[in-house]
Amino acid sequence: MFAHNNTEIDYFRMAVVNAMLIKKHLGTDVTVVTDQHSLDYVTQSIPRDQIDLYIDNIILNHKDSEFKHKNTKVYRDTINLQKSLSFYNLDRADAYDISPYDETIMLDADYLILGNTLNSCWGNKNPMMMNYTWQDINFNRKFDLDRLSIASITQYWATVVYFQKSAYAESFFTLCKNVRKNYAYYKNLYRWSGSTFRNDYVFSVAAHMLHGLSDKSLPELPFKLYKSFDFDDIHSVISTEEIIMYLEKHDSPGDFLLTRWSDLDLHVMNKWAINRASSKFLEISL
Amino acid sequence: MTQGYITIAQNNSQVDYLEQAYALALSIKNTQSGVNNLSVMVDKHTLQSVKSRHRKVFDKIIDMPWQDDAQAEQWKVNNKWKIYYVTPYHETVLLDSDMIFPCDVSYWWESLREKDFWSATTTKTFRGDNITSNVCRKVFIDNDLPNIHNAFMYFKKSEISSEIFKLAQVIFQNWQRFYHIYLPKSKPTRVSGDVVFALAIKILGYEHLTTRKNMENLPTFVHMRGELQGINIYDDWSKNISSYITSNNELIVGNFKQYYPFHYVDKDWLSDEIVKTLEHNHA
Repeated sequence: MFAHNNTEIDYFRMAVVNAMLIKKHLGTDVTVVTDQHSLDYVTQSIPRDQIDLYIDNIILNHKDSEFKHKNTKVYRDTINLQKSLSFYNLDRADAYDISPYDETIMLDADYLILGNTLNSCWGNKNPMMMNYTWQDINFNRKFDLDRLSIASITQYWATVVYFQKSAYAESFFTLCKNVRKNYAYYKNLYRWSGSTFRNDYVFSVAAHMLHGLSDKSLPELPFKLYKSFDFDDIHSVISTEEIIMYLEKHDSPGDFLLTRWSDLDLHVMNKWAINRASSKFLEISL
Repeated sequence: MTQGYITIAQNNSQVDYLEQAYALALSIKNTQSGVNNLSVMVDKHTLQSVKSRHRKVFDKIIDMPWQDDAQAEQWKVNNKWKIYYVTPYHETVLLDSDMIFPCDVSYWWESLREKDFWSATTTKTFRGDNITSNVCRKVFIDNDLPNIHNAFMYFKKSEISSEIFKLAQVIFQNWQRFYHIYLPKSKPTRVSGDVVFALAIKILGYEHLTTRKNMENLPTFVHMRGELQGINIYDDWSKNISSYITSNNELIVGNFKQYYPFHYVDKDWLSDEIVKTLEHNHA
């Protein structure tokens, strides 16, 4: 996982929670790539020995200060709050070089591991997998997120990426670094809009280029990518396998459905919600 | 057993179909490792435009027999039934002239010859997705016609093909009457090659012999009608989507490499520059 805090969101705290869930459900090693500031901040609220219980390796990266100030995105905490904050995500393309493992699953810190589904990846014949299909857990809602733009390529989600140390994956990440370096050029070429640097776009372009400019050619993970959005909230944490979600009604913004979600991993895009739920997660883990 | 591609070129006041056929022939020569010969059937008027550069790439330039059934038409499809009688090959693929081949599909022939007659029933967007839009297929759905596209249509000399082309001739020459009788739910306002051959196949009860529902990737082609692309383009796509041909004969459209025969439809797409690139690659 990669976890770089900004002024409001404690990504490292999210990573600690998720590392705890990973230990519980998958039993695998966990490495978190972070920066000194984020690490120092989290140790004020979580004892270092508890962090070390869940995270096997902490790798410190220096933040590119220019990028940190330049790259922002709008974070939402349901319909009630939205803020433009720094979004530091520049080092994802370095995952291949950074990872100490032969097989790696790179995760967003906000992709909560609530079951053992990810264990189905290990030893896969494909050296690399990530998803372009996804499912909103509010099945009534429809977001148009299937392509980088209407005439562009299919969007892969860098939320969960499985890769093996292999020539194939190395080529993929080399391409990612090239896209990262020439982001404006590829943005123009692949016609996406918005000013936020997004790894979903970087990885999608790399997948497209690596497969001879053909669409949907990089194999998908052997499971669905379930998502909730930043309009939603976590109502309560029941256990390390189960949470109850507030899902915003598609036809009534600001009103919610209560949904019990268990045993399946979930991308919770409302970062404040995870930060609020983190104490409960850490409490029940002990 | 001889094999080859064939197309029809009948220039009208606006479109140089011979030049399209020429580009198609060049692209086939440039990309096909197996069957790479294209013959062209032309009317008397178009024959006068044939130059030596055309003769070098076409396998045969065939005079259109009998009278020109499309003489009064701007959109000249009425002579398609003649192809069966003029083709110099035992096995033929009839193509629309406004196509190019950016990839090698020689291996398709092994599969195509499993049937006597086989038309594309699935087409692709430039992104490689199957076209699911029914916007141009209302007549087919309403009247339960086989969903064929004769821009890529294989046939071999055989009884089945002979019957289909014979009936197609009758329908082409009496299309208003046939449309009135056999297309009760909706009917096109002009004669269409796709509808005529679909109707012939349906009347003969040959759907199962001439199409396959379980195959989407051959025979097929990229169909570049703007409204089929799913990207809010309703007129000529080349105004909105960039494209180029590489020195390796790869065609890149909107940054997608094309892996199937490419039916560009938009007549403005075939520029002099593209023809020169194809000529250069051929040389």
